[in-house]
Amino acid sequence: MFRGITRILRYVVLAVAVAIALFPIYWAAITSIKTKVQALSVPPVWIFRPVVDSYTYITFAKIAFPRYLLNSIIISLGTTAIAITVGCMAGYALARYKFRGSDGIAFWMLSTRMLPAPAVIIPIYILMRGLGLLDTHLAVILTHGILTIPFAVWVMRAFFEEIPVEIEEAAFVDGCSRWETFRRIVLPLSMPGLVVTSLFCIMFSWSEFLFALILTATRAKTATVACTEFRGWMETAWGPACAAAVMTMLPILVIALSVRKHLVRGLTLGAIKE
Amino acid sequence: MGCQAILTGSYEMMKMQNKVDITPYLLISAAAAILFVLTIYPLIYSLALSFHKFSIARPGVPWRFVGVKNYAKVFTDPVFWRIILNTLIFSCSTVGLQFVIGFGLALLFSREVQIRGEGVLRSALILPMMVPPILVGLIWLFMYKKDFGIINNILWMLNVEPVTWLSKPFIAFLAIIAAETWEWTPFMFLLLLAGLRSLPSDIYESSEVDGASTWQIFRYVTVPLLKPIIAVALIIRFMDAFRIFDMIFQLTGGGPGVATETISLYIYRNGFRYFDMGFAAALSYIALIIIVLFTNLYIRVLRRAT
Repeated sequence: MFRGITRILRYVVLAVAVAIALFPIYWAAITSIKTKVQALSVPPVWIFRPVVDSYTYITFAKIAFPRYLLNSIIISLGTTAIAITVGCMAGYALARYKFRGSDGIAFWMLSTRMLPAPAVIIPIYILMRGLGLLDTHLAVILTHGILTIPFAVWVMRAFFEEIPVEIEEAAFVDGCSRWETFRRIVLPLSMPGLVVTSLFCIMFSWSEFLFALILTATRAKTATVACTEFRGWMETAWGPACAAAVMTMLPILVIALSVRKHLVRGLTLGAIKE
Repeated sequence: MGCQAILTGSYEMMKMQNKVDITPYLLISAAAAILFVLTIYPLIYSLALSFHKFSIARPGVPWRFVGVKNYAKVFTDPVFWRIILNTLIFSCSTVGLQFVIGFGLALLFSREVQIRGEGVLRSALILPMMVPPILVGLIWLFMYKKDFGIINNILWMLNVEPVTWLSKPFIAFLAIIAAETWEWTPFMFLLLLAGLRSLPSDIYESSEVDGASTWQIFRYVTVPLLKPIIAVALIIRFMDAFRIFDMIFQLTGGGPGVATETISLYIYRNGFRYFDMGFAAALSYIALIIIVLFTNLYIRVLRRAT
């Protein structure tokens, strides 16, 4: 009897938790396929015929949202490519070599990940302006390195450490050089880790707002920045705003669910393994 | 281990030949160089800037040395103390709420009873933290709207007077706490669940055999064993909450007045709205010192864990 009640209670609590977790996302999605009138109607409309007006509006009206999505894609892929390249090299060095200062360097890199963005944004803005890079993809790509490089170094290091060293040892014995061993053996074996790390880097860069806001104006503006610009003179255009929000978060949610097995490790920079 | 021995061995050999293997330094140099330009250089620059008066709105006007005036202004500025208080109350209350709710949910998924469709439920529960924070602000702004927002609509159905969520200081503060808790409770849930799952089951069995109650097991077995994970989760969340910008920027912009303004928004406002770069740099240095203290704490916990 008591068991039964606790069991039902458990399901009720879980149902409520899931409902609260999903409702805001659901509400944004449902608003994006309502008409202008339905979006703001009181009481809210729950059942209606979906329309794609908001999506057509943000695609073809002067907002041209897909352009900002494209900017986000370019920037997140660019910063990920850099982070993975330099992160792999540094991660491998930290995992396989013992050298003076390795621990210090690793923790210094980790600590840069914790910097509050506003503490570095002013000098970076002035630096980028000096280099004539304001409102370019490159400026944001490089700056997002703050988020992605320390992450890539730490997580790749953990992945490399998991590859049994005996395999490398065997390759050495067979006469492979360091580089050959890395390219032919270590790299293929760490492919899953590389993919997961890349996906995380893409997520970090894609979701970032403040750097993108300050470093871009029109040409390189990212989707997250563009999402905030539906505020009208009197009221925000909520239908289009929700459509933009859905288009911006959908890729992230898909990526997140595909790496959910690695989320714990990724979000703690490898501190906790599941 | 064998290869480690060989690698260290070759390293030892090199050392014997009085040569240091520079390969690892070369490998690490690219990442180090980029991070240096992106973090160390800006920190030195803004340290210098914090002793000057400078505005980016007037690029022609050179820096003017003002000594510690910016820092003096920070500490005598009553708004600054209000902002620090806001930031601390915000961080502590949201992290506390996330921890309690997240831990509760994680315990619901504990071992004894299998939950049907567990994978799907878990995925659904972790979705909020994947939504970019700026969009969390946008979506909650829409839900908090006084006239047509869904929250007031639901209250109206329950015969409760509509609430002006974002224009009264105290209620606006509760509103940002709610949005932040919604987004990051999944993080606590995810980490604590991973922790619970990693605990050895024989300890539980033996404590049950010894006649320990559920509460006793929780208090004297689960919590002590989870301590490292709890510490990591709390510190990560606290550091992130302390430097929060996006969600509040979108939801209230720090208003009404400075009721919901936190340190990052204050730095942004002074630097990029009032263009008082020196003052903003001084502010960011103070924020940085606080964050560094927490980072050190985190790293110490991490070192003990690994």
